[in-house]
Amino acid sequence: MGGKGGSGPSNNQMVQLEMQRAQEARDKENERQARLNQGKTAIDSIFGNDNFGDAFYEKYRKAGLDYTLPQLQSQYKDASRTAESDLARAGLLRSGAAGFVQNKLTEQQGVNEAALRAKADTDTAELRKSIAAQQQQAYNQLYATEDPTVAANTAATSAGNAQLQQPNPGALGDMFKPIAIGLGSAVAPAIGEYQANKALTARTGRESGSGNVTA
Amino acid sequence: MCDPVSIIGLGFSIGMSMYNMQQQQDMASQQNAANDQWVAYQRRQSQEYLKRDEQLRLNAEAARSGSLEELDAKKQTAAQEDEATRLTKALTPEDIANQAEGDPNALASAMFSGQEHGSDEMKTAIQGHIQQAAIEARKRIAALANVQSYGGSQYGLTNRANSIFNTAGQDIRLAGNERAGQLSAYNVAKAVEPIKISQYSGGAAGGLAQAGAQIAGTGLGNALATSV
Repeated sequence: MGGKGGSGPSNNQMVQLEMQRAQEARDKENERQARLNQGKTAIDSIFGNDNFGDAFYEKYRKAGLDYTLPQLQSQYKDASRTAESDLARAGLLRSGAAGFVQNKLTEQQGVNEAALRAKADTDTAELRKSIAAQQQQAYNQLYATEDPTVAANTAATSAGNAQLQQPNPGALGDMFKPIAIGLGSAVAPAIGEYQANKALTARTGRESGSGNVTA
Repeated sequence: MCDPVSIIGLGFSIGMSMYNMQQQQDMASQQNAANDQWVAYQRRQSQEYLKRDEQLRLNAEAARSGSLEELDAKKQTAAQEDEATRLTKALTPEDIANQAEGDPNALASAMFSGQEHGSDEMKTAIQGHIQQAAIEARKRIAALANVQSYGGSQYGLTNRANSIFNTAGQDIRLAGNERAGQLSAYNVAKAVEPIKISQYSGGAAGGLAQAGAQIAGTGLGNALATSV
């Protein structure tokens, strides 16, 4: 748009300046969009499958199980050994009662292990959410700054932090219910208490009182 | 008769008036041309903006409809069933799976020491108990896997939906952000005004025409007065 101004004054230069500014705004916006796309690509790459793929999460899940399953196995062995001893003492090792005990132990073992595996899986799902949340944060900063370099660095830092996630180190607690085997096993604590009290009474000459042993 | 000076003044006045009129027409035509150029500029800017805006809107729409497609009941059901299958396998201990299948080695390994020397009948009975327990455990584990697959497991419905929404949301957000930027840039272009051609005021030509008319008027007046 460059009409002649005639002999009088014209705002041609002002209009040219406005048009130049419009072009500059458009160019600037195009550059900004290019940076946005570049930044988004960088974030997608950092949080993508190459860095946070199934292998990453599987490693976390396995680490959790490597911590908890040995505890479960240890408790299972203890419970089996106790049951085996009780059965042997009661003379029931090769009886239907032994089958009942092994049935209970096997089921408890299976269900307990499955519960631990399920927990490891949901913990891993939480880790996935955590990584996704960090990705969102990186996006937020990208849009806030519109500078893909800063966003990529933020994403890299977040990615580093994400790897610091640790499995829950708490002990499992008792996973196996005690199974009473034979009359002797069922009343053993009471008998032990009675015998201990009897011994104390014999030594001190007192009747049962504050010095009693209680279960 | 008119004196020559009056005739010259009249002619000069007419000439200057015509020149003045021509100049004004020229200015008007220049303004029209400038306006036309401005309209063309604005139209081009508007068309470019609308085209780009529509492209970005389509990007956002593709992300939105794509996510909705992934979340329809059929696909969610299929995803839940796949996840339940994966979880059933992942949650079931290998020993339990083998025992439930009646694997002799797995059943034998679950027996207490000392039982292996018992009668075959006894061993079969105890292994039957173990297998039955493994089958029961496997059923419960499958139920657990089924429940987990709806919610908080790795690829359960909750995580899957969140992941789909996040991905689509980012695409929509990017398109929205770019649309806003495009609009801002377009607003700058919209603010461009047409060139304003200063209207011809007459200037020297107008003054000369006025002077000529004055001379002609004076001469003609004198001539008329003389004749009367």
